[in-house]
Amino acid sequence: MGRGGQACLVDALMFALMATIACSLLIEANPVESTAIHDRYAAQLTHSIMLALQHATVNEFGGLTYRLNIQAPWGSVTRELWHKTLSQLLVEDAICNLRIKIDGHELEMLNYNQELDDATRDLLKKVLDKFIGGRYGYSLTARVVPTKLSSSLQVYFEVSVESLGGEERQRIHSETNLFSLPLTKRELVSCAKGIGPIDFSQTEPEIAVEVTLSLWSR
Amino acid sequence: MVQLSSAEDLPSILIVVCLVLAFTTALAHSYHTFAERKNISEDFSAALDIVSRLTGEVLVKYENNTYPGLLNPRSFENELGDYYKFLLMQGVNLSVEVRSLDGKTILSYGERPGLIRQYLSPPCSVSLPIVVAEAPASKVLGELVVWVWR
Repeated sequence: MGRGGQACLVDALMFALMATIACSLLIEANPVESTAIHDRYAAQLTHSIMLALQHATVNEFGGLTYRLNIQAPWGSVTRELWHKTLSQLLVEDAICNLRIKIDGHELEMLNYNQELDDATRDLLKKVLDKFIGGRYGYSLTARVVPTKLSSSLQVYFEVSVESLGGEERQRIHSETNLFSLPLTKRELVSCAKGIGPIDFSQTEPEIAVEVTLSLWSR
Repeated sequence: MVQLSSAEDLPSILIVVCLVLAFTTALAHSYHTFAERKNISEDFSAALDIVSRLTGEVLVKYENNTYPGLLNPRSFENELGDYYKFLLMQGVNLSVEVRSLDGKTILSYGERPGLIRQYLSPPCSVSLPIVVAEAPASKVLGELVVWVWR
């Protein structure tokens, strides 16, 4: 190989080096941040599921039946739910399973109904597994913000369904909807009357159920 | 200064030509990969915008109101046709399908691209849960699947 040929080869190697740099830059370059698109999809999915919870009815999943805590002469009384939406079911669960705290100590529930609570969890888990599947980890929490009936007496409620499995994950998106509890202040107070002194001035005007759906990375 | 002609040092010329060809091909392939990724991102982003518009406005119109997330089957015939034409004018093709939870197709609009078209411009699809109001007292939970391609 002559000196001219060597020079030509050096030029070609320089070209190859520059082409390699250009290739690696192009391959590494992300035209659009892929996490941003995934986050957008997660946000859209969360929003759609929250809307579906407001519109889908229980009869889509074969209805729901639970025993009421009422003793009738002929035995136990059952309640069948068919046309309630999934969010209304969560609200009913909240009403039936409100918890009471006096000076930070938890007492027995006002109208405890474990059967409804379990059935609601199972149904919601089925719905969320269907729509989210293995794509994301999820947690759905319905809670009544602790409401003060007196300086020491509080009522609250919380139920959650999740598929996180205790692993460390990153929260991608969450959305919260508020549903009003169809229970007047007076009705709530009458339920808790026997338990402690009630100060009407401290009772918050609106009692709402907060339903939060969060999606987590897998 | 010595002038070098191409035939003077044939082995080095051959090496140079091979190197240039190999790296030009690599550069072209890298750009193709980059452009493909860019297109997929853009199409997916467009599909998300379209789904958002469909579930929030186009497919959820009723006589006097709109109910986001509650699909009106009648809007499949009326509103979706107008929206389809609007997108087509901008070079975006659309196919929409609603499936029940057991996978049966309840509603469908637009044709999906053929195999050749799919190879030339791969469609991008987005699926989201939706509730279909079949009748005032009958609501069906399902999945809205939207395919978008250019």
